[in-house]
Amino acid sequence: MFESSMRRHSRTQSTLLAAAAMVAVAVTLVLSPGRVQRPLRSAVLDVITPGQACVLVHYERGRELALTRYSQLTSGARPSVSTNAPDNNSQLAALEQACRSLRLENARLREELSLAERYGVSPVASPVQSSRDVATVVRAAVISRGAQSVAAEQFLGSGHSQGIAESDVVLDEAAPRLDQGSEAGVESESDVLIGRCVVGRIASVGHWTSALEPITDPRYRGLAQIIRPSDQGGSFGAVGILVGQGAELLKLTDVPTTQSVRVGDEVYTSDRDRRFPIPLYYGRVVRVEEAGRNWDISVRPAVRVGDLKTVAVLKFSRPAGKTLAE
Amino acid sequence: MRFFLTAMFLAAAVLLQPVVDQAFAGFEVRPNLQLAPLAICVSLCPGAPAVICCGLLGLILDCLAGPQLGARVACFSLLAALGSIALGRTEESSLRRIAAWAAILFVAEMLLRIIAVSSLGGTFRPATAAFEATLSAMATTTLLSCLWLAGQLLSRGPRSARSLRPFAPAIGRTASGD
Repeated sequence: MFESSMRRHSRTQSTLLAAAAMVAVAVTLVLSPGRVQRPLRSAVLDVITPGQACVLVHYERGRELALTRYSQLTSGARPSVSTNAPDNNSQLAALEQACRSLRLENARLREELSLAERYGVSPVASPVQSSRDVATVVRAAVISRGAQSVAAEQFLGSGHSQGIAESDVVLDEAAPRLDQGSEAGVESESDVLIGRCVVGRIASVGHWTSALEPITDPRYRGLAQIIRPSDQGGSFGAVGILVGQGAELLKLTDVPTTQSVRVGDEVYTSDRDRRFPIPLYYGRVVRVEEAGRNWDISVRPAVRVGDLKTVAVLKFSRPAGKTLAE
Repeated sequence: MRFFLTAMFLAAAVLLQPVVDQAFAGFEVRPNLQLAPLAICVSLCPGAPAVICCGLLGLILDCLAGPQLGARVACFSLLAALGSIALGRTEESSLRRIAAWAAILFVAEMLLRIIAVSSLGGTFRPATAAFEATLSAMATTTLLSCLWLAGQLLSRGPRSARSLRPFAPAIGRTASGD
């Protein structure tokens, strides 16, 4: 009886000692600066997130296989069920996409025509392939969507004593993560796409994973161009800078009120922004208001990172002999 | 063997959480698999090993949720220590074990909500948080109890099949639709 009580007492003591040690570790972690926390967090995420992604992919494959088998079995039992009924939503989305693509091509051809009318047709045929860098894509899965902010205002764990002042820029480390990192050739600042739509760019790269900065992120900036739908197709409009707001809508800045902008206009990457080989879709103008010499334009992005499972990371391989100036 | 099992459960819980989230996407109540190792550690290896395992789990969750590291490590370690001491005093009855799991998971859920609000901002509503934590803890406890029951049946081997024999007529009637 006495022996059992002693054993229990020593076990309680060792438990409390271990708890005290772990609390000391936790306090050290809380007090440690960002440059200590960041590599530790990155290392743990590099281990955990690829494993989670792998398990999820296998689960989805297994589920699809099971569903296929089940539908085969049930269709064998009930042959009268029609499986290829048209899905109105997907048809509408496909039509919209085709329309956007045609409008873009129309705008490009219209501009070529106006240039040809003004300066004449070149006597030497120009090559179809531009001399830009050869672009390749790395397919990546979105493996974590990051912590969703639950309030418009958030509180920081540091204050005036740490040199923080009002209106300082706050960088959020809880960015969505992709399952491809430097090992797959992903580089920081690479652009991230889904189809012909821009999703964002790579904020930081780990060995096996990378952090995505979506176009809605307050740090995101990109040169953008408006394409106006018209009766004759589309035509290129004003060029501005697309800025993320940390909210649902984006802002298109630096568009003077002398330029014509309407609700419903489409916003693409600009030709002048040599990051993209072809214009890619950002979103649609949903609100236009006059603000001094420039328009205050709100743009609804075409994609939401929360809805995506996979994305494509665009990377350029520079041809040999090409200089930076080119 | 117990430490190996605990480590396996810890790894499985962390890796399978996205699958559980996807499988229970349409449900209001879903088990929080990432917290299940807390209960498993306290049951399988109470004492210092449970404290260290739960601290590691806290560190992993801190890294996954961000932005600040350390809060979950401290909370989970203390919770494991208290759970180990409390469970050490009770007898090994199934009902008490399940009640202890439910209590540990409920406290962990509440702590997670408090940490999330304190790091991300917003308003903490105790009643709503307690309601959600209760549902989640109950779902996780049910899942763990089912796993434990399955483990018991499997570990008994042929005896477990024999123990199901009295239920055979009822199962037969159910299958034939009577």
